[in-house]
Amino acid sequence: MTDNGTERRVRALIAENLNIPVSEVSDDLGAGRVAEWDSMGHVRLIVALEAEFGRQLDESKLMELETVADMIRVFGSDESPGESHSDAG
Amino acid sequence: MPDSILHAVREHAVHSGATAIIDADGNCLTYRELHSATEAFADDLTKTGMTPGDRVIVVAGKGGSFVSRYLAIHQAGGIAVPLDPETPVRRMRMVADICRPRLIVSDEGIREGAEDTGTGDTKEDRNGGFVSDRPADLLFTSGTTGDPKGVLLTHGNLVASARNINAFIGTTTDDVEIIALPLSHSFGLGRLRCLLWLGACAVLVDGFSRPKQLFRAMSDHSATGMGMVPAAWALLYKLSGRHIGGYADRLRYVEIGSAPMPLEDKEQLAALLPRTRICMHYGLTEASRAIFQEFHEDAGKLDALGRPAPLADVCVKDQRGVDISTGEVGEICVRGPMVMRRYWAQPQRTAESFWGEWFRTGDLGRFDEDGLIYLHGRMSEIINVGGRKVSPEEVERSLRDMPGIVDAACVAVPDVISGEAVKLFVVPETGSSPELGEIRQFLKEHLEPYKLPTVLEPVASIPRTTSGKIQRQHLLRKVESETE
Repeated sequence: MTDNGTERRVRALIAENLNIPVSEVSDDLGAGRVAEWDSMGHVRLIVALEAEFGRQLDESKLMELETVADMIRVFGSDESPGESHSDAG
Repeated sequence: MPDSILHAVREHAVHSGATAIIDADGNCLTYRELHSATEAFADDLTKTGMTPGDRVIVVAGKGGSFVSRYLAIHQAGGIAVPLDPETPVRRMRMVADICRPRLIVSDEGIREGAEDTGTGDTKEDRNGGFVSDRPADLLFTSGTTGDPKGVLLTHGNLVASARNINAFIGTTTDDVEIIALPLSHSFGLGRLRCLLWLGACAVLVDGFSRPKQLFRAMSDHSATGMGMVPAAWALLYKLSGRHIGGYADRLRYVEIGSAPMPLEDKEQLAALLPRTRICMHYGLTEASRAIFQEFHEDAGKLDALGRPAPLADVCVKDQRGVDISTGEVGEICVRGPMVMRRYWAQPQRTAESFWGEWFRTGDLGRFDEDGLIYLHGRMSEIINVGGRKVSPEEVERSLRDMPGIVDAACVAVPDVISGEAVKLFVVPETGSSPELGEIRQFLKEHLEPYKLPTVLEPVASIPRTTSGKIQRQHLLRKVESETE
């Protein structure tokens, strides 16, 4: 579950980082869809989100972050410690 | 031996039913299908009236169709000019003004290019005898002033480059490699050519920002190789940690290059992939991969660039072009069959870039007594953002018309992800305080995203010489003192 406050903050931060209006930050927007959201832009965005929410995500959650909807879901959920990433394969 | 990558693909089509390309959507193309698609598209090109030696801009989209379009340009005798789809219109026009393309090829189809296509080429470009001497690719890279410079590579250069790289890395026909690098860039395109030369399989993946997709592709296609720039590894590590270690038994090789890699990142990757050949190159679009190191064989010496690549000669020369002794610092120069002949329509620049047959890299280095080459900085002011070159002058020039800014200057600043990033110093107009977001928004119209500044510092004045030239060293020292 995410509250509207979290969703607004995530969308506003993405808009600010990508230099696009908040109205263009649709749920399915993700890396490669706008010029500024390239590989390096993706990491900068995640670092900015982690700083904004004061959370350091573990690898399994970081790998989930592909679209705006993922970011809203992950940063809106409670932190769950002890997560581990799955093995290759 | 085939005399071009195109001929190698033709031979694989005849002798093998192997898969050549798997695109990001999972669509497979065998060598036979790739060859047929190439022939069909080459017919389409020649029907337009295209003649040998004509330049054809090919927009390197994300699908596998780029590969057949690229080869078809060679088949029709043309010179392929690959461009990134994100290239701003203004820069695309600059490139077109220089190379005068006959055609522009993209997902939208084939359209006419310049009306006058006769500038910059020579008779040999159109009528050259041996295939290996004929021009194949014209790759544009940023000059020190930000003007695009066209690196002209012959079919012979491309074959030599593929053989040189494959010889060091040990890639084989059976390898399946993930290519997540842009195919418009010389590293990604070079990886593709290496695989096509051997008849191996390229799996095209859409960048490194979706590691789940990347690892899924590695698993689904039993990948044995991949290429990445140091920034991609920093990114992959940030997003997936030690996950790549799960592929240690499958990955036979990784090629890394285009920008320096921090020593700790090299050691970290070597520890995660203890049985993989991790080959880091030093190279330039003009000289392909000139120097290689392998992280396990060269453990303990990973602060060096490595040794000359199998087909490359490397030396260090002084300012007069004279070889200097072991241990002394001079300009790294490269010679070999993969080194370009010239820049497109820039004879002066070409002349200044060679000492005889030795290409001048513009980088400073030295040999040690064991034959290892060490980098000692660069002579130009180019900023290397994750393997892509940014001219500070181009950024500064693009800002000239922005209201509220009196003067501006850019320098490289260390960045944990991209190695270097663009730092912008601005002198605001009285009463104005432009913010980084506004500046990036303004520059977006003129520059590719990786060229946009990520750090901003307002200053009272930009240090300049009496002739008005920016004293970038003063600004760099300021950056260094702040990061110490």
